[in-house]
Amino acid sequence: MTSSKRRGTGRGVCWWKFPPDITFNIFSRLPLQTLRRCRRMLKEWRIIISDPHLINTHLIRSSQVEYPDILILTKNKFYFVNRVSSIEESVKGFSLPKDLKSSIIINTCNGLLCSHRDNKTHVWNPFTREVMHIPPSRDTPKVLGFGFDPILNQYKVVAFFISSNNVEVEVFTIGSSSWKKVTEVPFVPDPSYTSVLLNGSLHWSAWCMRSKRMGIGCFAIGDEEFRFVPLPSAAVSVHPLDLSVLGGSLALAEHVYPNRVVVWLLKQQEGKMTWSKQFVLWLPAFMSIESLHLLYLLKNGEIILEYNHQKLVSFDPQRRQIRDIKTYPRSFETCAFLHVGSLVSPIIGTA
Amino acid sequence: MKDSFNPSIEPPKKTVTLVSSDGYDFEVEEEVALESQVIKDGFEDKAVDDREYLLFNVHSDTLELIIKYCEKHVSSRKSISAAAASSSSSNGEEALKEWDEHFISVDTNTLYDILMAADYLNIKSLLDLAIQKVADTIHGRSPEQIRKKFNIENDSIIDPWASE
Repeated sequence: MTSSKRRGTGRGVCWWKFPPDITFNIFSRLPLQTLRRCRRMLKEWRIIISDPHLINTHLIRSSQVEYPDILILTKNKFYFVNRVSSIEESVKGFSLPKDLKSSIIINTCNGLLCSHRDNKTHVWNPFTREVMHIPPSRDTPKVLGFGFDPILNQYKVVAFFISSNNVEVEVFTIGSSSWKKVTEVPFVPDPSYTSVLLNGSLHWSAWCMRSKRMGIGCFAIGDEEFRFVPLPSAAVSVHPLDLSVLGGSLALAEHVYPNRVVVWLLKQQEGKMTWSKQFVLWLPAFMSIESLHLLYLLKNGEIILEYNHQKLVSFDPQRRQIRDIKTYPRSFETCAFLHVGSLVSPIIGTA
Repeated sequence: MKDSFNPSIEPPKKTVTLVSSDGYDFEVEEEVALESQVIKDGFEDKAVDDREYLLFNVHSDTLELIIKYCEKHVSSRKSISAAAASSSSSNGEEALKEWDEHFISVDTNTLYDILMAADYLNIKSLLDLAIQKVADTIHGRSPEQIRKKFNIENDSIIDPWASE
């Protein structure tokens, strides 16, 4: 091998000026926290960090993590609980932007959060603090939902107007200018529960008008079609109806007095939706099952749940051990959501 | 040479010549040069007797490092697969990882050169290593530290997107 001479040092290379594809590759490996910082440093970086492909790359990665992030909203504050149950678990609290205080949270999706107060609906990204104000709907909705359709790449807010003899639905697509009416609504969602988003459809515990049964009401964000799935016929007690997404399936937690929770999963089998009894949780005697909300099932079998509107806990079903993760002031507006941090902008509305 | 007495043993290894941007010749074994996807593609297109590659974008200092990296990876791969074939335990991959880590622990200018050369020559594992190193260097640092480390002039723009 031929040896060579050292070069002079004054090369005048702007060494951070990589070709865009390399900068993209570097940024796709960095955590959002760092990107938020980098975005403010250089125009070139900012352009790349705002690129929908980069935002999407991060979104996909954040959704595949082993330990989830959870967002807790109280009246005046929100908390990020990062990497729940990992050794790096951390809790950070922030105060809510002024016009979002005392709001009711509708749902979270792709790092965006939809909240409602006094017939004002906002979609915002708690990580970047960008807020999008949705025009008011014709009336105060009784039930709201917020979701995303990955095929159309659209975010929509769904509003139910419920009167004693009628139910009507309007939909607002983020990026459009007005609400649009959707007809033929087969069910009335229970206003006391939030919706659950799974595979581009919102799910509520609902009452089917035609069959006069309780079950799961679904609304597909993309084609705006409604569907109704009856409850598992073997379920003993179906109130309260706690819905969540566990291991990629819609989960129904059946609360059986005094301390048993039966978890059913809704799975598609040969084109039909069927319930299967997944597992039973035996809670310690001091835990009241009435105010329990399952949030996440970890690979090791641990379950993350919100308890009594005031505590985020981890429950190990095998040892029947409970570990407090975060305690906060109890109120009915308070709720915990599974959350992925993202740079998705509610204003552009693209993922 | 021993080989000439027993021609059934491996023939002498084929070599190619890589020429750096500043005009230095590097003679390397063919399989080492083929770590570069660009050379590999060119190799398949070229006439057999043409064994010289002009690398206009790679300085000799950098090329020397790149060759060192490729040689190490070719030899490690061989010993790892040999260990696997004889099912003997080997920490080859672990050791190679450590070697990589040490290899890429260089000053920012050298890192830049390695990264650009790995991109130009299309050596995927090296490009990955260098990009990860840059990412690690940025990760967890304050804007001031990043600026200093990477010599970025303070032309910071005002970000309408919130403060921390």
